[in-house]
Amino acid sequence: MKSLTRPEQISFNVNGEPRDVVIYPGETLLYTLRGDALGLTGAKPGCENGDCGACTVLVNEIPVKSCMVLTPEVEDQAITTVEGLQNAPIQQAFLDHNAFQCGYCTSGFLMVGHALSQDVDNGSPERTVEWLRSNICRCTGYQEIYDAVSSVAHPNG
Amino acid sequence: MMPNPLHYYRPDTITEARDLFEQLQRANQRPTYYGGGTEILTRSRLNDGDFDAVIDLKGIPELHVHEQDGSRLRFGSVLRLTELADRDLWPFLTATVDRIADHTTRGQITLGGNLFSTLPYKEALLPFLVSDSADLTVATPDGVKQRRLADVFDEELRLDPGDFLISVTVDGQEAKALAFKSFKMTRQDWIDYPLVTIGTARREDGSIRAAFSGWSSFPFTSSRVNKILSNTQKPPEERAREAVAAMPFHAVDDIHGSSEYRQFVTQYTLARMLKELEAQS
Repeated sequence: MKSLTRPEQISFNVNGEPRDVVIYPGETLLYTLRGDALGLTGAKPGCENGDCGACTVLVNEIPVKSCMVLTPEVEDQAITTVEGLQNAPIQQAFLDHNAFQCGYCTSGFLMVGHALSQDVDNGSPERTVEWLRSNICRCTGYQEIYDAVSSVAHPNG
Repeated sequence: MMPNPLHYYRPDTITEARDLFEQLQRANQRPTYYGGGTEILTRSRLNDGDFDAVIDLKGIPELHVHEQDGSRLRFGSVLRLTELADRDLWPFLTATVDRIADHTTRGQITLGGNLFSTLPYKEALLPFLVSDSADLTVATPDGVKQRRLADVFDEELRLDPGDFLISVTVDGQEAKALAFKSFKMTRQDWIDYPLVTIGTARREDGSIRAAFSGWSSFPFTSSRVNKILSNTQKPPEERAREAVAAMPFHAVDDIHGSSEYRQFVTQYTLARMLKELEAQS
């Protein structure tokens, strides 16, 4: 049985690299990622209530809202943050479609779009819309974001 | 970050989890079982949670079961809502859970978490409420026990303190024989709490059952309403009007919609569902 009752070191894989971090048992993944030990500030604290999606990262390639995950839950699992996207097609697609305004929500949308782009065989406009409903853009740049994500999630229409 | 000190435990077996709960209580801690965490973390952030230790049940293999087990469909309590939808073992359940929250959040919410939510909605209950054969497999101090859902459901699923849900089962033949419709109606946005979510099913004998979430502060089904809906001598619009008038509880009046608006939405949604259900046959 795993038991954490005080600050303790746990291990996981972040952006392809094994990392050991000392965490509090009640720490959220968002807090751990953005903390001094990792310094990965790409995942943004927005609502911290699971509504906005600005903190979205991938856990084992599945999008999750990192404000809604306790860090001990993801011990030994693979985390991908926006910093881990290296020349991913979704990044160029956002540039090509001018899919950002203030940019605060962008990393969350990029992670959802990247996850969709990894499963093009099941891609469809309906699936893209459904997945993108998980994130909020307060600048309301939804059409450009949809166009960018669609270009990599279901490139053949 | 959650208020500290919060203790985190991830047992590997049912017995470990059950014993740990009692052990923590004896040590004057306030444990709670933890599935997807979405509700617990939200409530913690608002200091609205009477717990200082979470027992994460996701390390227990029996709670991940997702299969046709003989004649029964078995759904483990820590299955994510997206897992239920992707596997689609029971399309009625898929159609209902696929409208809870948003896609990313459904990848975190577990079946057990939804069924035992402190929120009024618990939409995943609706398909089980309209079936006759739903059972719960529960971890108790005396070992693993089977409970009929109908026996433990009284406005909510009532388990003894420290007991937890391992899985929910339903008879596979009954589940597959139900023609169904599941509609969630919100005030405006696609992603929102429901004004009303309705699960309706037409049984092999032609009778119709409906279960409702969002109408009152808990999900319910009503034999009186089901009898009205099953009277196919009357047109769907009339049955829907009579059903809404015969509801056993008042429609709630809240930020999502007034009581009158809920009644109006429920009535026209029910009429539409009846038409579609009966057109299928």
